[in-house]
Amino acid sequence: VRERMAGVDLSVNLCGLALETPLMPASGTLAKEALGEVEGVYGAMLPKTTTPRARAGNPPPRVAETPAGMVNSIGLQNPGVEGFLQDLDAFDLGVPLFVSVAGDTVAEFAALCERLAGDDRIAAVELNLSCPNVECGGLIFCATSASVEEVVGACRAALPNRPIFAKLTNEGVVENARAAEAAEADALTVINTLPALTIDAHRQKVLVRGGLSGPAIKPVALRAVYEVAGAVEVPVIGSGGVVSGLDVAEFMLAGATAVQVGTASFVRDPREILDEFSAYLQEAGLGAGDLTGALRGDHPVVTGGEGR
Amino acid sequence: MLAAVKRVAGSGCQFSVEERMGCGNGSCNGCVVPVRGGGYVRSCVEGPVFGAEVLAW
Repeated sequence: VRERMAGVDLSVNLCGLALETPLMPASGTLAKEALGEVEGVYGAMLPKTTTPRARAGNPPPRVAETPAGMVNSIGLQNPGVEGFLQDLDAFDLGVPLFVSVAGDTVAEFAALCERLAGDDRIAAVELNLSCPNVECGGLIFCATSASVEEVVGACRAALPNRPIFAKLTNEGVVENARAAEAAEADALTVINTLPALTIDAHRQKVLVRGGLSGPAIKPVALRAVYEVAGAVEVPVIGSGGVVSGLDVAEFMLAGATAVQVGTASFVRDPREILDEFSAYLQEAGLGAGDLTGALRGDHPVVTGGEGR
Repeated sequence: MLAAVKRVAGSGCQFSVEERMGCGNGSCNGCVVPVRGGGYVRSCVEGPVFGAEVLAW
């Protein structure tokens, strides 16, 4: 792969970490069984979210195809943090290893961060803030900026020496981004899946109630990245519907420092996305790092009142 | 339907399970089937063929 990209600088710097490419998997979309397909593609590795205890996940059906995307409701199936850490070496591809965590409470998030602080294999931690906060009646952590600030602050205290990324949902993303930055998050992942529902009309049943991903959500994610990047100083990791190399370029132009690939990796080889991105850079005569925020100032960021 | 076949066929048979798959390579955990003893396994990686005694039907 690198030979084909001679002369193109794909590297980016994310929170002081040198990444060979700006691409990484979106959490929950890459298992160890599929790692052989992505060697040399991703600049960082990011396995599925782990939780304090093992979770069986939700009953099937868990996935449904939709126009230009899919809806999933997996339920964070995972072996729990101890089992996860035993298996973590499988994800060592020689690139920085990021770990996504989720808890039911602020204390659980902090305890996870404290546990990971003692593991030198882990370069950074991503907080999955789209999971329900059982202390707030099951509202997700991203439901209020106060709860984002509280959970990020607790994780910051538990993990003082490693970058923390707060992964945010689209709703309220600018306010939540400011709250996460105030609580000293090092970067923001924008965005998670959008709340969605699929129905089987023949059986008259709900099929999957979960999160929409894929190219259907790309314009939504792009706008969120653009506005968050204009509102905070910390780096943004773009996520949501990236399918092509041009999509990667668009997210970086909007302000992202790195970009996650999720649903697209179920459909095409992520290597092709990197090759397309590389070709784009070559043609433009730019390095990956030159793109981030290059649009800034072209259009003033408007936070309300538009869209009519 | 396969559960009904299992009742008729009894033990010793195997089932090829084709749950709806998202990725087909083990990544998404979308195509799981319930197993005895609790929890789920992926039909794309751990299956798609399972012994009747494994499945919690």
